[in-house]
Formats: sequence, C-alpha cells, structure tokens
Amino acid sequence: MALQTILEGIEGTLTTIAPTIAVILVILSGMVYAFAQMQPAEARGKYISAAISMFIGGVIIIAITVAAPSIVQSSKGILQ
Amino acid sequence: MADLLSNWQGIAGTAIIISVIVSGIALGLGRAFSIKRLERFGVDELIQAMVNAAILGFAVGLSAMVLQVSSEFTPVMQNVTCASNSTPPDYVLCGINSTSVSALSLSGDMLRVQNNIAYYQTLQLHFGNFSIAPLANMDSVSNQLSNSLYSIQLSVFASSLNAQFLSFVSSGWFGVLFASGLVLRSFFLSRKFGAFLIAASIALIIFYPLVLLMFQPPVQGLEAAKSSTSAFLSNAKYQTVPIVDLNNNAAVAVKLYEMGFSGGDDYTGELTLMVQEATAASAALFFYCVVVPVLALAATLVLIKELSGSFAGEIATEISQI
Repeated sequence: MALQTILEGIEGTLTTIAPTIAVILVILSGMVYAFAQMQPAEARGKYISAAISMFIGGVIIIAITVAAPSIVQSSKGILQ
Repeated sequence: MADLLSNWQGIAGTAIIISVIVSGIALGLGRAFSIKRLERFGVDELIQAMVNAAILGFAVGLSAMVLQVSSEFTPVMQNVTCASNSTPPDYVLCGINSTSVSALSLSGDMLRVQNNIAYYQTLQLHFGNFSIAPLANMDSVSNQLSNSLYSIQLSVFASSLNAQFLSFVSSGWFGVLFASGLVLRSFFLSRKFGAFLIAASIALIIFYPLVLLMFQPPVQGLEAAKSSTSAFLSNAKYQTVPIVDLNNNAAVAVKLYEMGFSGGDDYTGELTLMVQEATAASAALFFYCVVVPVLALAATLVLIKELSGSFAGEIATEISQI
C-alpha cells in the first residue's frame, strides 16, 4: 500500500476520532455542570470550573481539527 | 518508495496535518482534565507542526529557486554543454564528465611523450673508444610528467567518486530524504533524527552541488595542455628514428641536429614548456576534482550540523526536557 494512502487513512481516522472526543467532552461538561448545581455552594465552583475546562477542551479539539489543513497551509507560506 | 519520490510534498503535508490533529487532541484533553504536562505537550507539538509546515514551504520555494538559478546562471558559469532544465547536480556531473574526458585524453598524450623521452634518452652516438648520449639527462622531465600523470590519475579517481555521489543526489532522493525527515520530525521521539534528515537533504542535495558549481571545470587548461602535447607529438622532427638507422651514427647525428638546431625547433625547450603546461593543468585538475569537493564536503557537514540543531529546536515549554 502506498505511503500516501496509509497516511491519509491515519488522517481520516484522526479526523473521525477528534470530533467524537470533542462531543464526549462537551456532553461530559454538561453532565458535570448539572452535577455542580446539585452540590453545596462551597463545592459548586470547583465542579463548574472543571465543566468549563472540559467544554473549552472540546472546543479546542474541534477547532484545531477543522482548522488543521488551513494551519498547515498558512504555516507553509511563512518561509516561502 | 516510488510514491515518496513522486509525491513527497503531499506525503509531508499529510504527516504535518496528522501531527496538528494529534497536538490538538493532546491540547484539548490536557485543558479538559487540567493535565498541565499534556496541555504543554499539545502546545509544543502544535508549534512544532507549524514549524514543520514552514520548513516544507521553505523547501518547496528553495527547490523552485535552485532550479531557476541553475537554468539561468549555471550555463554561463560552467562553460560546459548540458541538457536544458538540468538540476545543479546534473550541471556538476556534466562538468565532471567533460573534465574527465579531457584529462584522460591529456594523460594518453603525456604517456606517449614519456615514451618518446625514454627513447631519446637511450640514443647514443658512437666515436670508437667512447660514445655519448646527448639526451640522457632527461630524467627530471620524465619524472615531472610521471608526477603529473599520478596527479591526473588521482583526480580522475576522485571525480569518479564524486560523480557516483552526485548521481545518487540527482536521482530524486531529495524528496525521499526530506519527506522522511518531515514525517519523523512530526513525532516527538524521532524529532532529532528527522531534523538531521531534513538538514542532510538540504545540505547534500542543494548546498553541496551549488558550492561545486561556484568553481569552473578546468577544461580550457586541459585543452591547452592537450593541444601543446599534440603539437609536440605530431612534429615530424621529434618522431623516433627508424630502428635500421640506430647503428648509423650519421643518421642519429642528423636527427639530433634537426631536433635541436634547425628550423626553429627545440626538442628540450618545447618539452619544458609542454611539461609546465601539463603541470599547471594537472594542478588545476587536482584542485577541481579533489580540493574543491573536500572543502565543499567539509562546509556541507558543518551546515548539516548547524541546520540539524536549528531544525530540532525544542520550544521551551518544559515538556521537551522529559
């Protein structure tokens, strides 16, 4: 099998896995946020910040995955 | 392998996209679960992937520029005929080939001159009780020709080695080495080796031939020495005496007279001038075939070392010190 095909296969797998991880993180963040609401006020902040971190993590993953080809394309132009 | 040769830019680009996505996942997961080391690793890898992409863009621009330079500038500098759209290694190979042909042609002539000298060294005039050999003391000239022949032989040997290396270089291996380097550089553990391969491909395949192209092949000097030896060898007065005349003192004496004193011909004088030209040509050949490649190789190795260090540069987010 050609190297290009293998690499494209890996890229395809990663572009499938990354949104899945992002969605899982977003759902998890929602669950943690909901769980935080059931906690006493002194413990709530910790869970809310964990939920926000998970949400941001999910957004970062999806953003970088979608933007990967553009990042590479614009980085190629830096020294060209 | 054929895929790497023909599509190295696409392969390197895909490898970089993979490394960007992996770094994004690491960055996102590190951020999500507050794992600082994983987050820093993600940032580090993302920056490295962007550096990889910049190196890829640089290489694409560089290879286009080198082809442009070689097609416009090299034919003027090199003074040798070469196929159009040749790459720098191809131009160097053309220079080496024409130099080798001229050098071997000259060495053939020099060998014939040596035979001629050896013949005349033994030529004797007999006077009863004693005999004389007027040209017996030609060893120094013969030795100089021998030294030049050894030097030409060594130069042709060295240029053949260089030609072998350049044929490897011009066979499209730039893409293979470079793409492999970029793929390996995309991964944390093989980053330094990948950087070394990128540096080696740029230095050996672009820098090395360009350094060699800065020096003109000594074809003109070799041709001048060759025409000098050809003129010497084709001079009828310097041709060997027929064997039947060797016992004829008068014939030998006439021959020696013609060689030295008549009609402006001067055997030893022309021989000296010819040896000087051959020495100068062999020195120029030695410089082009041995000294220049050694210097170019040394400069190339230094460049590989420096570029490897630069390309393997870690981004200071502490994760690199693992």
